[in-house]
Amino acid sequence: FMEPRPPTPSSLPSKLTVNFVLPYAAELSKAEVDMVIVPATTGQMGILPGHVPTIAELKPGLLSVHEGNDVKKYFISSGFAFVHSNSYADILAVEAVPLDRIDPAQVQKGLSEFTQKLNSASTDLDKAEAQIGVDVHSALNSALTG
Amino acid sequence: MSHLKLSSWISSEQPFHSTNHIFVQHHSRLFKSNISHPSKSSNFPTINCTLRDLRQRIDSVTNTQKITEAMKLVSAAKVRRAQEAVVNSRPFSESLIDVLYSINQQAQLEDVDTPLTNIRPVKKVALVVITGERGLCGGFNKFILRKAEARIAELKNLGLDYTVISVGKKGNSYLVKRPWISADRFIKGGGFPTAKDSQVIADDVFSLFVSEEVDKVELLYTKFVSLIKSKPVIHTLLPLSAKGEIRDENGNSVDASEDEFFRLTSKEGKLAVEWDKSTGTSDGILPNMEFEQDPAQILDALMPLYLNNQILRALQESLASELAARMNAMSNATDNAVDLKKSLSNVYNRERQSKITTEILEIVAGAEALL
Repeated sequence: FMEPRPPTPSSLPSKLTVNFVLPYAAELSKAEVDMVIVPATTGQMGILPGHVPTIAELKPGLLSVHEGNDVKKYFISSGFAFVHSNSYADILAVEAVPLDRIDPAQVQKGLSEFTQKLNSASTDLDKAEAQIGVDVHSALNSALTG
Repeated sequence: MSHLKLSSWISSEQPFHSTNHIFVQHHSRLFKSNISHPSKSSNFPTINCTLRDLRQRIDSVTNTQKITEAMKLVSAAKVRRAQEAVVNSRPFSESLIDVLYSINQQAQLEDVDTPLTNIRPVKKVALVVITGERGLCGGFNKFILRKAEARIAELKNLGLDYTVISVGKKGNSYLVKRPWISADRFIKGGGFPTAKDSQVIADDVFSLFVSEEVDKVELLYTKFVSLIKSKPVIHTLLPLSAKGEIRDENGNSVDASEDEFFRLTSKEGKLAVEWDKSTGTSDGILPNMEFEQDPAQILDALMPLYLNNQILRALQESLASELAARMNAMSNATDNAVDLKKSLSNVYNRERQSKITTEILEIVAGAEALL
């Protein structure tokens, strides 16, 4: 359960406390890390300790958690990131998968499939669905390669 | 095979003890034949040899007992998993409420209007009723359906139109048999509810509300109170409002008397207290919040997520209550089966002994006649 947040410290904290939660589980709970990079709709955003309080909506992309020399990468489908003033970050994702669980071959296949669907789409609904598929798969692709 | 027999005896609509009636009827029939006819022939043409019949009955009751006990253990294991699922989804919904609250505070300064918070005079209400997939769970499905019927009657009294969205096979079949209740149907995927299942329901509810076909959406599910107690509740899903009641065109309150309100602050008493304390300290923080995007856009995206989350939690709690009810019903069934077996065995032994005694008497009488 969440306890009330500690008041703003006078000096800058050295670590960022991250709560990374999904609707059915908490991936990271109060993990102390150095930096988190989230794929906001306005672009990749890095969150360091002492970041100004921010609310950002996330688009499908790569989320990486940096702890010393350790980097954990997840692909998230969408969500929100909230940074509070005492270096607490809440990242809510609808769906998140660690990168090593994603199969590159499947991603390529999906991408070509959806590009095809987009080209042959007739109704607006089909076009929109195909476009979403293309967006997600290309984001997956770039996450895997980048 | 005996499992099939079991399901044909027990209908999910009736509470468990009706099966006991069936057993007791058979039982009393056997008793009657025992008392009135010491000889092996009987009044009922179906019973040829009471002894063999009794033995068969004892065997089938033993089988039934094994099955019910197994079902009880399976349900007990699943309840734990269901409870864990509910607990695991809490951080997500709490963070969501957290942010929704803080944005709402800021948004009240601006003119933010999201379609989901739209309060209109109510003319039509959508009821989302969550029932179970399978039977053998005691009165679980009956209670929630009874509550739904009561709510429908209430709405009719207020002169409001309604439509029912049923989730779960049991609710679906109940509504199919009652075509006078207007309904829109779903079949739950079965197994543990996922975000995908709740998304389907959320989409439907969302489109109904936004297209102004319905003005209020209520969720009827069974709240998990404890392993032996669960309570069907009505929870207003849409419109999402910070406070206040929903009124219909005449200004009469349309809420059910025991409605659980969606409060933008929090839902559980414990959290509310904590919130009071921390809003004191975090008030200074909120005005400094930087929005990467327009607050209206963020709210627009957050609301459906919140809706989805609410429905998912209702599904999870409903599942947990169903499993707990099944566990209890099966535990009672096992106890009853044990008792029944004991009394049947008694009758069987007495019958067997009286048969032996009769044979001995015949032999002795025959021997005497010869002398």
